[in-house]
Amino acid sequence: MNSEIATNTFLNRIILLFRRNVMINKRTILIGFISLVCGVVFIKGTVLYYGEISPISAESIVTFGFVIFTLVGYAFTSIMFYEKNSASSAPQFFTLPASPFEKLISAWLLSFCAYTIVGLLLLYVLSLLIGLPADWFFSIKIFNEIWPYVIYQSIFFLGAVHFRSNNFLSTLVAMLGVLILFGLIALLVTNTFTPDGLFFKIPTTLTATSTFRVFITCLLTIVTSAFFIWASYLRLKRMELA
Amino acid sequence: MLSINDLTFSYKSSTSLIQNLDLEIKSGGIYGLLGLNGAGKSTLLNIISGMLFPKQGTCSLYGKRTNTRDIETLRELYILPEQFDLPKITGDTYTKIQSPFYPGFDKNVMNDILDVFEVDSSKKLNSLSFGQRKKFLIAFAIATNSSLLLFDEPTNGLDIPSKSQFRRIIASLDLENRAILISTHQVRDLGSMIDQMIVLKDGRIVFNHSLDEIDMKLAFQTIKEDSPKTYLYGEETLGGIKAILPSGEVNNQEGIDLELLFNSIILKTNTLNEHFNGVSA
Repeated sequence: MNSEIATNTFLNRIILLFRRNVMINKRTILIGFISLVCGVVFIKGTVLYYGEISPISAESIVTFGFVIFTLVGYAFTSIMFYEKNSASSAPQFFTLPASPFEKLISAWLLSFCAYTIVGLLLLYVLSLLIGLPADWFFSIKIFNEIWPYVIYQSIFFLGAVHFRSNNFLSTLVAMLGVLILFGLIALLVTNTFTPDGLFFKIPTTLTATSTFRVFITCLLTIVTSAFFIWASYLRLKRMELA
Repeated sequence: MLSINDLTFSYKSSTSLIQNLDLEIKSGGIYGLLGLNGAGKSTLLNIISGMLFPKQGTCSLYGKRTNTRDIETLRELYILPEQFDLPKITGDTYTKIQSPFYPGFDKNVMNDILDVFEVDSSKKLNSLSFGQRKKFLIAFAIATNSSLLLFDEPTNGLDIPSKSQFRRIIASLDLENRAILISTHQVRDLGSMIDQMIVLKDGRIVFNHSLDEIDMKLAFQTIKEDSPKTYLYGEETLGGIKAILPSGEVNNQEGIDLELLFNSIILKTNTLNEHFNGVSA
């Protein structure tokens, strides 16, 4: 009998599944990583060509890089469960001896944790290369943008589990649909009950301390994200062959 | 080992594909699951492997329902689908990332079978032909040492020598604690490999008997057209009529002709079953 790593524990299976996910997505990961590194090198080359750039331009470049990071992150998340989308590849996924929860967690570790660490590291390197101060990247500015990313990533994660084809576009369309629906309902309710506008005014004097705001934002993000991941788990557990 | 009770299954907005099906698979045997195209053979294998959920009834492996996709249950079964996509990695990498999930995986067995099949596992799987990939997966399936192997049309895409090799490999397996369920519509490919013949027709099992039982109760013989012998089923050929006769009426048996038997079950289900159940045909 030959087995490289015993699969008796939850942790061992997570490691094996993570490794499996990396191997079967190796091509995509390599292409994505090389493209991002090339992007960083290209920007550095452009900056060198034009000489010094202003701090505002440098910040804009990193912010643009962050937008790219989020979009690539959503796309990468959307391909996490591609195996289950076709009847010919799904047996490899569904009958692999690991629980749906383990399959889900390993995919999340790759698509969120590993991707975010690598992506942010590249952005940090980019910020240094274009002359921003070392502590700029860790200012609250850039990390304010990470909270929506965490939530949207978990929605795309649910989309990766739920949809059977074109997971990225399907999730995008579904999100737009839900937003439009809720927007219309809110508009209808507002116009019906308060024809003159909102029935209460948001107190402009209400302020919260920075720490409290960060805490609440963090808590809401984690709860919302956890909800979508939990929903993904339930969907995966009950999912049948396409 | 595997117990299916009162199983009913239908795809959305369609009539039942499988109806009130009961089946027992015991370790130590090779079961041939036969049926016409669309009879529900692949669907049944997908239900057994937990990829489809029954609408009614249960399917359990060692007492655990397969639709729970419990880790222990998944380790004990391996399905080789008829059509499959494999990742764009080498066979060796595939083995490296998949095999640890099967604690009983035996790499030596895998290498031995790959040698017999002459499949190079150092090549990328997507660069291999369909038949080569199928042989690779057959080797992997056997090496998992899972208790129940489900093969869906395993000989489809294999060349003639490979079909023979496949039969030899299956025949050489130690099946003391294992069972193999082979689904196919190519009856000839099974040869003398199977121990039990199960025929699925219109979502029901219409025939489920061991080859020993078949051998005891039926005789296969080519008779002349004007022969006075009464036969249960016959097909005209150049040399006369290839017939299935009640055992005991003839001395000269030609061995079990699975294809002829299968045709007779499909076309004369009641006649065959009445004979097996002891009712005069």
